[in-house]
Amino acid sequence: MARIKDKPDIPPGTPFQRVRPMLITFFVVALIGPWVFSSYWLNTFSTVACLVLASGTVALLYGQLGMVSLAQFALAGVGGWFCLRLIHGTGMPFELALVLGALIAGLFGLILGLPALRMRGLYLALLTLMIAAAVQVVFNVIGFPDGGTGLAGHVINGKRMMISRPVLAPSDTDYFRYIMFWLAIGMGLIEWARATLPGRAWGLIRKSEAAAIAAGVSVVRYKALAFAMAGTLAGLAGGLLAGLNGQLDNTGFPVSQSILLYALTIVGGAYHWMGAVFAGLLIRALPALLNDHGVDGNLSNAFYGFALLVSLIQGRKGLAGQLADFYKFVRISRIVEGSIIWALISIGLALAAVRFEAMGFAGALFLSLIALLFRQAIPGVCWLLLGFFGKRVQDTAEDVEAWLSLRLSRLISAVGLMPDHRILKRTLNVLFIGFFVGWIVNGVFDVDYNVALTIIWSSIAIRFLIQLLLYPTILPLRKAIDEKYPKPFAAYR
Amino acid sequence: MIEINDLCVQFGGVKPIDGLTVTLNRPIVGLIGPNGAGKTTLLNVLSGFVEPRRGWVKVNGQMMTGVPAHKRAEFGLRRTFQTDQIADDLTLLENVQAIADHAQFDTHDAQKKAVYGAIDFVGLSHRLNRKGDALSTEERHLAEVAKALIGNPKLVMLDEPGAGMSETESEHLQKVIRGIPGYAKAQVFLIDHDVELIAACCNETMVLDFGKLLALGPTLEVLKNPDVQKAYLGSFDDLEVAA
Repeated sequence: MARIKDKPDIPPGTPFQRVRPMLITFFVVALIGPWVFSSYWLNTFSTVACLVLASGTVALLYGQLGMVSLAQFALAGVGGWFCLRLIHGTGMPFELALVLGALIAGLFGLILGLPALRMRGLYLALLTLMIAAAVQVVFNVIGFPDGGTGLAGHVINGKRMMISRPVLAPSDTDYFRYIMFWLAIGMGLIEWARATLPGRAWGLIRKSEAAAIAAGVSVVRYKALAFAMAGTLAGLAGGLLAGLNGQLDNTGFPVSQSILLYALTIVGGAYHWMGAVFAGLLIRALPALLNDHGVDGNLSNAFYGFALLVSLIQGRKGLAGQLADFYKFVRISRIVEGSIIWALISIGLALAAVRFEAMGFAGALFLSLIALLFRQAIPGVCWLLLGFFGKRVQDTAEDVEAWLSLRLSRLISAVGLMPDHRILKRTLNVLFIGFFVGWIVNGVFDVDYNVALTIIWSSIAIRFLIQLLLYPTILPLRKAIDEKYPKPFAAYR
Repeated sequence: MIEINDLCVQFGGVKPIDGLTVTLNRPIVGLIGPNGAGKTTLLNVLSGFVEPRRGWVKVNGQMMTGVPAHKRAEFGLRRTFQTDQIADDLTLLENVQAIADHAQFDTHDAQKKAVYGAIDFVGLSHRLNRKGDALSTEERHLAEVAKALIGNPKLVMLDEPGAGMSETESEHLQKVIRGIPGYAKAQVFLIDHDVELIAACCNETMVLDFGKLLALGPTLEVLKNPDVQKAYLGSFDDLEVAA
């Protein structure tokens, strides 16, 4: 029955094979992170890791069961609060308090999940939003975790006590790795569940509750399981945040953060673990990046609104889904080739920039990579943007470009050179990328305009030169790699 | 064997099934009827999604009325739905495995054998690892049938499995359905609008019209019954009235 032109299906692999890429990524980040980041950034990324876990729980509920919970960040607050109070009150070791706090948050999540058995969509979202608001009020009233002694532990006019870091991880570096370890366990649990029996049951329920019931699946049990898991892991994230700073603030878990967490999980992608990573980075790392460069980090909220709009229009899979789809269609050889060439160019230019004291290593590296990325991605986007001014403008621009290109290529062939009918479009794009990116970095990051232009245009020029000179060597290599690692969905030309 | 006694279902003022008493004991039983005849409602009563106002149903002598829907799978009641329920982002194997996860098996191997066996039986072995959204309409309907064969079913209820299929596809489906009593030792209860499919598969056919039994008997006899033809196609008298 199988037709020959059918593309082969890729088996999804064993549960472990499916979790492995994520675990390896987390391991590598935990290993080299502390060497690469400054202490400011290490602290930021520790927070990011906690938020990734919290976002993973939102994705679990939304991606697996289509349930909107806006209370996940509040549950993180509950977990953190209990973790802190248990340590202050009983002096138990950090790990024990962390796990107990998480379990209590899981219990809260389960109670929160009870109405979810009958509600869905907007009503569930509203309900969880109210609960998040209620948690905020309760925190304010009971004096969210005052660092006093005893289980209730109020501090009046005194100094707040901090909890100490776990014995295993006293320093910032160790604690970053400690968080990554818990993150790997938490996200690993979610991914494992998705790949095994619970994931399949969630799949049935997501498709149709009636079909799941007819198949003898207990809808109640699996929805409750999802809520308990999400609550526990959100609580774990909260406990880790508490350990990171030694204390928590009653303003630390506002409703707005819960909504932001949900919105950015959608932007990042609720159907892939990378979506949670993107969400974590967007919530904390992007504002930190802007603050670091003297721009108000709250500006990023404006960007998030735009990003949410785009991901709602573009499809429900978010950034991670688009990246995964993109990976499915791009040949391995192009990925290898691109990474090597891009890395060589950007690192080389960054070293040169440092050598001539034009700008910092990281800045030049970033700028060069952006230039290469835009060179790859923007040509289509540029012409698309013209559509914004109306179909007539877009068409006219295309016509003018075609007319000019034709004249130009005739001129070139008259001189006796090989004509290239795309040269005008390409030149326009390169000019645009240079001036546009140069203008942005000049305005936002205070980079000298000429230096920025030099780095951007040299990146593109070197890329072009490498293609021109090394193609005879690269093409056979490409072919060899593609034959060794074929991809069923990639277009082979 | 399905026994239905004085079954009455009422939604507000509408009575989709009105006083139905019937015993169905042939291996493959067909159910046809014009739109609104109460076909799907009868299936929903059998699978427990609709509570009858009066009367009861028994399957293999086991009283079903009063048993909650999610418990009926344990009694060997399996059904498919008019719109197929294949999860888009699970593979075919995972879709069928999801059903097997909640059925009773002695060993892990027996479970695996049942899953692969059912997929092989409907002829989809070459699609094991294909994601639900990449399956064709025919393949999705066949996958639904495979899902209904898991875990020693006693009664397999198929709700319009042939919807949207071409002639060749429908022929394959006929073979599959005819094979079910032998493969799964289960009785088949088949609803479809495709009279050819019913004629090719069913030993016995029941016709419903506005919740009442119109005819029951060997399929070919039933299809020749003038009352049935009138209910399905209308009569010339009706046409004149309409004109």
